[in-house]
Amino acid sequence: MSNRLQILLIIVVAVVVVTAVRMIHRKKLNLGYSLLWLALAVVMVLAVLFPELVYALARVVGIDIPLNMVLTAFALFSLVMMFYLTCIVSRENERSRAMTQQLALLEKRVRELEKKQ
Amino acid sequence: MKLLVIIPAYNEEDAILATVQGLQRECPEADCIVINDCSKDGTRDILRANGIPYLDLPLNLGIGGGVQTGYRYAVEHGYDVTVQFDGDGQHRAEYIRDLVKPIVDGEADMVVGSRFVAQDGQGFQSSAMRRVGINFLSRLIQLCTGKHVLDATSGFRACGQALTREFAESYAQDYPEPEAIVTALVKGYRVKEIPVLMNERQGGVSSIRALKSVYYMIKVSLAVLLAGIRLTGRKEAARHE
Repeated sequence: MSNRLQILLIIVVAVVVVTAVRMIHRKKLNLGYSLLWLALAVVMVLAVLFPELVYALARVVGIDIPLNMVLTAFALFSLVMMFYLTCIVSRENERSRAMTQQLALLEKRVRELEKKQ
Repeated sequence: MKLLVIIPAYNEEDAILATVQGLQRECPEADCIVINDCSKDGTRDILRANGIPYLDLPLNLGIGGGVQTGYRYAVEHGYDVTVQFDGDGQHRAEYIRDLVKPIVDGEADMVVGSRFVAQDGQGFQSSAMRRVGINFLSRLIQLCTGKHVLDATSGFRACGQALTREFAESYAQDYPEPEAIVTALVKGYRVKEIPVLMNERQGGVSSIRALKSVYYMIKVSLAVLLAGIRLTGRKEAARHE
């Protein structure tokens, strides 16, 4: 792995970590959801500090150029993240539907109570 | 017997009043509840002005979420039988008693008002294209459940107490009619079809538009297949325990 690539990865890690921490502080990112991003940062730091790990992994998987190994890993991570996000969106859909229905049921009760008074 | 007619309505200001009045005239023993699915027109004003019982959804949930709200209401108020009835004047209230009877007699858990059971050439049937789609769905349901349901997309249906509870708990979203039938069949409920005639729509826009129909077919087929596989699998698992 070239020095330049290592520097680039370090910058990316710094941006990810700083952004994630700031968003957590501002309550714009839940701690739970930030874990995957922080895990990514840890993996990237490991890759920069111990490039032999990347080379070894690339050999095991059968990828000749270590950079391709890094790119493949990024692509996989993105896929996992997107799948995770669609799962979260689906769950939130379910929750907002249940809440909307409950709200409608309660609104009718309130309306009837107000009419009685 | 307490009977609730659930009427989902989205932008039905042209038809909703006539629909409800027709229902109250033909079937005065039934209570009705209109689910106003966040209509953008004057539907809610009409409901309020005429003292029609309604539930007002603050967000648009679509037909599945809307109807499910009605099932939840039915469970909350202890109804014995629920009937799903379109707000656009497509369904005819004079068939409600026929729809409810097999449930009261204990012959079925769900009764679907079908446009295809009686072919006496009367009344509104359906367009040729739509019939092709409905036939395909019917085959698919037979594949998944082994049961023959001719008009799986009909939204005119009655459910007994057990299925009402089931649907209040979880109901298919988006285009729920065929999936709900598969769920009922796979869970071992008895589904019966009876012949009904339907009117042309009085107003509003069908939730199945021409451009969307391919998307509709793909989505519904997938939903039916998944419901069939998932529930059959679960039943097998339960049997092995």
